[in-house]
Amino acid sequence: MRNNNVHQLAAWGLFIAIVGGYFFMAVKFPLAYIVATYEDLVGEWAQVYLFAATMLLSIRVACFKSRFRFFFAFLALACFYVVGEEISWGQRIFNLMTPDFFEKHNLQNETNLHNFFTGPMTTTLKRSLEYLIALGLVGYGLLYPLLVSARLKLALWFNKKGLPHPPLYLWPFFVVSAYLELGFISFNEAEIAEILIPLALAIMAINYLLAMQKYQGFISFPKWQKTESIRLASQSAALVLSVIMLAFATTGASYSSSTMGPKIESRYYNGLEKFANRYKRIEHWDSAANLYLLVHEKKSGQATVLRNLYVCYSNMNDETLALSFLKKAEQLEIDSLAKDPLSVASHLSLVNTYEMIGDKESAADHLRGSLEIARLRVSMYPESAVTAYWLGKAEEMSGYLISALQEYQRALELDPGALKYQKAVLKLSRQLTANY
Amino acid sequence: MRTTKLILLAMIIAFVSVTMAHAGMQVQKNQATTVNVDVKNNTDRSVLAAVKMTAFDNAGVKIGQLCKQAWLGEDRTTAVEYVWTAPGYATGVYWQAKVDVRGECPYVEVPNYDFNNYSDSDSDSDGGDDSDADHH
Repeated sequence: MRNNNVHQLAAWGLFIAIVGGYFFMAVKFPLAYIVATYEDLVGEWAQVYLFAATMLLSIRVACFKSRFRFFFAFLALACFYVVGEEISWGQRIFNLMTPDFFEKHNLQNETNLHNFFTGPMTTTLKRSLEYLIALGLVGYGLLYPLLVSARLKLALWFNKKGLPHPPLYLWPFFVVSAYLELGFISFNEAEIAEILIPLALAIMAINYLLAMQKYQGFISFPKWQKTESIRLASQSAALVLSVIMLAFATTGASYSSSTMGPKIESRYYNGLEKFANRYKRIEHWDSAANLYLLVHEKKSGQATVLRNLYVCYSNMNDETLALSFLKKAEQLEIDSLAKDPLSVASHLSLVNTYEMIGDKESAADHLRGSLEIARLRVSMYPESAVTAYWLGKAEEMSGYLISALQEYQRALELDPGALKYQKAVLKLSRQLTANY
Repeated sequence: MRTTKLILLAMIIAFVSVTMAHAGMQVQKNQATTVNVDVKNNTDRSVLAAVKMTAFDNAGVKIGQLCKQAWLGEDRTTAVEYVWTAPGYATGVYWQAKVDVRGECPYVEVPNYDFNNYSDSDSDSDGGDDSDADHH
């Protein structure tokens, strides 16, 4: 081991600890993985602090007279924007209402700019942007430093014009981030990329800062002395440790506050269900069942969760327990219908339950009922987006896909900001396109 | 002809067993309580019907009228639950049940929303990539 490579080893160590840690959590500790990736929890706060650190370091680097100062000034500005966007410009922290304009036009109904263009739905635009980001990350984090070190003219020209190259040893951060940004695993892994990217940029800024402090008129990275290498390594490690502590402290403080606490808890349980669905999708039945059980403990009135528990335990070959969940789901919706007999949702939920039980007659009967009730409600409330949506749902489940799409579109016209209707339109449009 | 059929169907379906959840139980004056009804549709045809419950006191005076529209599945018992407020004086209460096939409930609004939002997440849990976008 060469001592003047300590900073490289430290960076790689951090990289392995982060990527390996997330992988280990995903496989063995689903709850920890949720906390480390989900909104308003430790992972997201870590992103915020890493971008904030990159911003401060970039400002510091930009203070030096060098050809790279404009790049770092721009990077600081970009990081400021990202920090603001990540926290929706303080909307959730200060418990602010979403202004009408954002409520209507923002795809996630939040006070930020990036969700005007991309929302929670996968669109061609969003996908193209993701590919563009991935290409940019590979290009900037791997190709550019490689070409600079190979003394390629074009790369050197860019460098001369003020585009600094990241230290080549940071390439794993950029390349793995590019892969994660594309979301091939569908496990919310883009959040890990959003940890790796600012960390790589922060380490890069630390390198430039040291170079500018030590070497007047510096053009390319020098071969670091042992003490410099140790200094870079310790600064990188200190940055990560500080960010982790700050992220935990902020999450804890937010959770204990009376305004944010209940919201975080609600998001957390929402996250549990989403991740349970993901574990179910990759047939990690044990983890999925444990998460669904946690959701069921908190919100016992969800037939969907009970049906998913049935699926999990069936696949774990515990038929008795599995069926008990299905029976609970059936009773839950029967009780719900007793209170609200015109609930299309409850009828449709029973359709799903009876189909799982294998009672096709009852399923078909509730499906007919849901359609009739949905049509009655639409005839009484032709201007209601909700009734149009539920008629669409009933028609979709009955196989009337085109009229279902029309109802979803009508619901969206009546309530243009509603994500639920946008999702329904997009999903069914894709299905119809695939069918024909 | 169609009306006659409906009336006949109504007569058949009016085989209503009223399960008084609080039969033999006492409720306080002015107390709000639930009234549960089980409606058995003995026919081989499911219908949307108005299930009407009328309450009378000892003197035969009507003291309450409850109505809910419900889907009565063929050859199936459907439970319907009402919230009812007891009168402000002591009396026995007698209930009369009536099922009005394809009937409506006057003065009762059909809700234009659905209380049961939880049942709407099945499609999201099927693994579409849209559900993966927690935050971007």
